[in-house]
Amino acid sequence: MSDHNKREIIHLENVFKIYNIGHIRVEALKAINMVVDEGEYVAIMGPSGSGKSTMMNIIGCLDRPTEGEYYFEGERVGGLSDDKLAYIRNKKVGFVFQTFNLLPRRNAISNVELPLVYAGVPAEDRKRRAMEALSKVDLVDRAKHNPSEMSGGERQRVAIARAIVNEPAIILADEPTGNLDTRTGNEIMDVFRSINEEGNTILMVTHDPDIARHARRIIQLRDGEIVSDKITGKK
Amino acid sequence: MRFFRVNVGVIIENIKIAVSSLIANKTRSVLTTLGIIIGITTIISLISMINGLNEYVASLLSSFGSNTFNVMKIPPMVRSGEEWRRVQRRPDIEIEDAQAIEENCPSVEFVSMRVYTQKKAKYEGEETDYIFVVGVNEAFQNMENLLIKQGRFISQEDVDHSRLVCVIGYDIEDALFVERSPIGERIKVGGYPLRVVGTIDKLGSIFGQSRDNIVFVPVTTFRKMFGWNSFAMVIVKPMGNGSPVPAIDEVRMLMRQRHQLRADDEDDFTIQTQKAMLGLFQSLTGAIFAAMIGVGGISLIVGGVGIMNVMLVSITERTREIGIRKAIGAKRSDILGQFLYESAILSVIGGAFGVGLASILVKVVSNFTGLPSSLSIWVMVLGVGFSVVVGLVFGIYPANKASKMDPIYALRFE
Repeated sequence: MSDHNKREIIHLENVFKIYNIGHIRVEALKAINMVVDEGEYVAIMGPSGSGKSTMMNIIGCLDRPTEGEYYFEGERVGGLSDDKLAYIRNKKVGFVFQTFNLLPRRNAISNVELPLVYAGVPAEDRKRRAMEALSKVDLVDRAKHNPSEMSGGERQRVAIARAIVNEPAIILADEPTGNLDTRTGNEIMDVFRSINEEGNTILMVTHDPDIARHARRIIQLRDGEIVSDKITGKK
Repeated sequence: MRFFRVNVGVIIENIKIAVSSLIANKTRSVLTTLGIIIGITTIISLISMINGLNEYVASLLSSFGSNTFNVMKIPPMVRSGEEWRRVQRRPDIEIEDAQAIEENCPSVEFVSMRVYTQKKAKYEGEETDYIFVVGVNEAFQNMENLLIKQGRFISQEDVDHSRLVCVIGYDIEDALFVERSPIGERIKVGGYPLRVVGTIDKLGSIFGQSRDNIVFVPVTTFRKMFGWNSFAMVIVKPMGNGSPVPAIDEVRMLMRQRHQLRADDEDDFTIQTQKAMLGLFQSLTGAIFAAMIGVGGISLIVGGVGIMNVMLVSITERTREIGIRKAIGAKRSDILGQFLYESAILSVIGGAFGVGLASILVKVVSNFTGLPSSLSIWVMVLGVGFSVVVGLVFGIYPANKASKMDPIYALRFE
């Protein structure tokens, strides 16, 4: 907590992502340079096809850059094995998706526990930590409910609890309010603000300026390139 | 090294996932395991039945003493009509042959004789169905381990004087003598009156055939009443428990002399050791065994392919789930394990049902046909173990496919 402002979490250095579709070469990302420090709350904006999701996948270690270097907490991601990438996704990254992506046949608490299962945390600890995470999103009383019994906002809060349960270095949110109405979307943004205030680093992809406004730094992408990177000054 | 430790939580999680997904698709699971059930049932019941037969035959062998051998006219396996006609021209094995062997062969301990026919038995208006009438000598009782219930067995004097006496089996006693001792009574067998001098303990049945509907008479009496036949044989017990070879050599030389064979003539009789009988039996059951195991094996393979197919469907249906699990940190080995557990559990359930079904089947078949059977624990373990192997072998391909799935693609899958 002492080094709050300066510790580097994400560092992209001249990153390219190139797809070859038949004979056509598509540059989804071009020469991306970006640094995200611990405790930041960043929104990545851009129209569809601008490369937001590709960038998110690379940052989340679901994908690897074609060219350039990506450092996660100072460690070069390019040379890591699949298992090491899985380890980073498990321990260091918390994903929040537009479509929530909860396991449908599992109740809230066992969905939240899942990253801890893969991390090898013993069962009693898992229950306790999952309940703590659920209390941070104010859903303790819904712990035993299945996703099908919950509203969209509640589901997304379960997903956020799942993302923070392993105390990751960064939370990656891909259009977290895309499937929610405005009021519920704002509730989710409140949750994000409060977990950011607790020291969590957040990187959020959105095309909605009203949602992006909640972040403290906004990066604009167009055609795979960063066209602007502004601190909004908002605290 | 942290990546290689065993994660108990993941194992339990995998078992939970497997069980809950099998429960969620009950019908599909049951249909999938059908092939495994049939395969395991076939294999286990056959192993049990053939084991039972072999154990039974081996027990007969040990009760005779494993080095006894038979001298007979008709060999136990005749392979062609031509051979049948040839062996029919051989001389019968006679009572005098048995006496000569006993007197002239120093390596022989004792000699027994057996000749049989089928007749009806009558007593005071009661009549049995066709029963076995067996001409024997005194030594036959020891040779066959027969236990006397009442009275005595056929004696040497009975044979010497061709007495009209008999010893009756349990079924005959049961059919003709209700609430009355048969000893001293006269029964009519094939029209001849015979005095009952003894009864035999119940022997039970084999291959659905009772071994108790039998009447023993002195071999000489048999010859006087019913004449002689091709199936008469001499049973020889060599001295001690060692090799029967010296006794066989002596008996063979003696029989050749008695039949006046020249040096280059073939034997016109067959000497069959108990060991050879057992070997013959085992090679026969072995062949059936191999064929049936083949059939069972094929149905296991079909069952395995069924499991593979269902696992592939299941993986496609659960592509998104795989994506979610990978995104939150499941390693390839975790996903591989998840689906391997599922296919293994699926086939183990099939295997367990198969073993259960087989044990019922074996009981039923054995009750109806009298076929002996023996279902041992190791056969059950083998059955379940076999199904685990099938589950793992046919689960590898789908599980590997799931584990290699690209998480980005999987997460986008609708």
